[in-house]
Amino acid sequence: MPISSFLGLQTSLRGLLAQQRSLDVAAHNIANANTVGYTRQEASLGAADPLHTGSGALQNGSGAYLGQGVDVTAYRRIRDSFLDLQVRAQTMALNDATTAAESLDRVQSAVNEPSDTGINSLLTKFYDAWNDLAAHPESAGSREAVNKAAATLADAFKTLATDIGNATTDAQNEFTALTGSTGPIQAAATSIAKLNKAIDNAIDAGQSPNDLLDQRDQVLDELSQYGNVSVTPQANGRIQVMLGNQSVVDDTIVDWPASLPSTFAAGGGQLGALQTLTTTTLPGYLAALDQVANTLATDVNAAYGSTFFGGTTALTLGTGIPAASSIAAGTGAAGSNDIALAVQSLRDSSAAGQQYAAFVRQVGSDADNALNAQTVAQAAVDSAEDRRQNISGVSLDEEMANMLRFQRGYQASARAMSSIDDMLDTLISRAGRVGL
Amino acid sequence: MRITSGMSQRHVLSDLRRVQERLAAAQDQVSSGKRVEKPSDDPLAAERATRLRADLGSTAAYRTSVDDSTSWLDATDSALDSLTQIVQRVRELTVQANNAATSTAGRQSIQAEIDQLTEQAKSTLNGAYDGRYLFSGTATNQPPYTAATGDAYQGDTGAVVRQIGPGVSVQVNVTADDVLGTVTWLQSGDLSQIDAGLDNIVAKRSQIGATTNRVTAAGQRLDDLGDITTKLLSNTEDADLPQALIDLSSQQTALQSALRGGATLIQQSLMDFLQ
Repeated sequence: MPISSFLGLQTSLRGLLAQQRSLDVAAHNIANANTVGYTRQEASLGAADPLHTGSGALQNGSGAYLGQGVDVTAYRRIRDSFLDLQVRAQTMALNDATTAAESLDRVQSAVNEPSDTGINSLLTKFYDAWNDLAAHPESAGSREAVNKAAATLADAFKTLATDIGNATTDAQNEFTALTGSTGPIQAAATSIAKLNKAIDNAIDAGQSPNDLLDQRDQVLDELSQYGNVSVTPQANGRIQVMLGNQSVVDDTIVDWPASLPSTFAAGGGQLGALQTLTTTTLPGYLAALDQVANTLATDVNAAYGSTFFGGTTALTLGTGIPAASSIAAGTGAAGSNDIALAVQSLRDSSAAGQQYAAFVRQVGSDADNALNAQTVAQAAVDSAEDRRQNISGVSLDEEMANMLRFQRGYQASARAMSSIDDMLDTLISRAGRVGL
Repeated sequence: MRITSGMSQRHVLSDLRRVQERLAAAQDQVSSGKRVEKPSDDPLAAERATRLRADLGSTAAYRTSVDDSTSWLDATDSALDSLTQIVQRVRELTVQANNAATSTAGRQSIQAEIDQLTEQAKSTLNGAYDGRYLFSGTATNQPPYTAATGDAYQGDTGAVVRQIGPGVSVQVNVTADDVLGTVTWLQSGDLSQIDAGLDNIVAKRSQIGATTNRVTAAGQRLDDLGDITTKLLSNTEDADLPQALIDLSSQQTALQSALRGGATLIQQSLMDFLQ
């Protein structure tokens, strides 16, 4: 079988086109060098299907496969989905720790210890006032001071309990805002459902929807800051997405409900942290503070012999005496101070002070743990993100080198084409003009 | 490893952030002088500091009680000192009156002086400290003797108690009933009664002296305890200033190097070298 004289032109053209496509992809990569979630792409080149010539192409009479140049076999997305899982797991841990750290930092600012203005020092001032009353049992001023110190102490308990309560309410509101129908999770669900459909269509049409896949992975990355994201692949590139134990998207259908079932557990992330804060940590602090208030009220009332503090929780603690003048310093005559002495000596015998110190340590160590976890998770996110960028990130230097490579390839193909052109010119214009 | 442009930029940023965080922490320590500003800085130290502050407060309160007790005891002692002199003068006069050589007129003038001294003794014990009657027991708003009720003691037998340490109480008062009682014995002219009364006053005075010593010793102990607690508290929550300053300057150096390194790293690209 004869071989067309123009075969070489076609081969060179393929070379030109393939180098051009590769250059296009490099340009696309460079253009998206700073696009969040972008995966670098690559035009995979492969030799074009060879031309099979029949027998007689070679000296020994056999046929041959003649190369016909190059084709783009695929536009590849260079990504390792295992690294995605790592990044998402670490993002979840980071947001879990960050949310907890922010809320706990707020609580420990409200606790305001060690300081000269926190409950601890107000407790000392309260006992000091009783000590002063013990030294001046006849004094109306000392009674006034006891009354005022007690009211200030009770107010401090109330303020701290209110602050912890506010932190709880805020965490609840944040949870509702995040999970609600106008929240980011609902938006992510809608967007994944749409992308599922678009990807399905593209794959149906035999295309590789690289940039759509990037967008969907980006949405999944964002979703992973709220909780534990798990992805199950479905037919035709679609995915089913779970957040904790709740389905977010199945196929092209949004599963995320307007109101979450009470059994919802985010399994970590911002939502998980908010759930832990509102159900365990903050109520635990309130209970610990109530315990301190209760011990204080019980001990003081026992030493006082009747009701001095009304209320047995941090929020309800208050002086139960009608007026400062009715505070009793002693059971005997004007100068007797046995009651005042009994109350003041509670500073050494009552467990309230130690319980409060333990409460401070608890808040501090929880906040410290969250801050440490945040630092560790930040480092882990950075390193996982590095590993992903290592595979998928755009390196401008690399693209520059590739551009050079493809540009040279293009130039060489063009040169090959012009050589063939010269050859054809020789054949067409000069052949058969012997002796002219 | 492929280092992409985004990566090096992110590294520079996160390194800068870390260095700046450490710098801020070092700066905080230097400016506040505190190692533990929030419970999370060191939870155990925060708990310890909280308890040490309460201990410091209790030491200061007991110290106040000690000062108050000392003043009370000093006032009591000085009143008893005057009382001793008065009773001694009464004794001298009584000895003089019992002397056969003393004339009737002399005895009358002695009688008048003893009457005066008796009133003086009562008014000495009616002395008040800080608006309170020292010798009326716990009926501190009631003078021990009044003109209307004559020689009878008007206070009660209650003990005025001050707490000068955890679980340590002292009685700081003596009642006029204990030292003088019903005053008639001063005018009795009976030397043995007067001697017994004088002995009693001296005994009460030495009792007050012993209590003063005890309270003073407790005060010194409280001062020592306060010093130790303050030192412990400082060790627990104060920053080690030289260490903090060295940290601060080394973090500043680190920040400068990170900035310089970042500036050179971000600038470089293959584009600078390809024409």
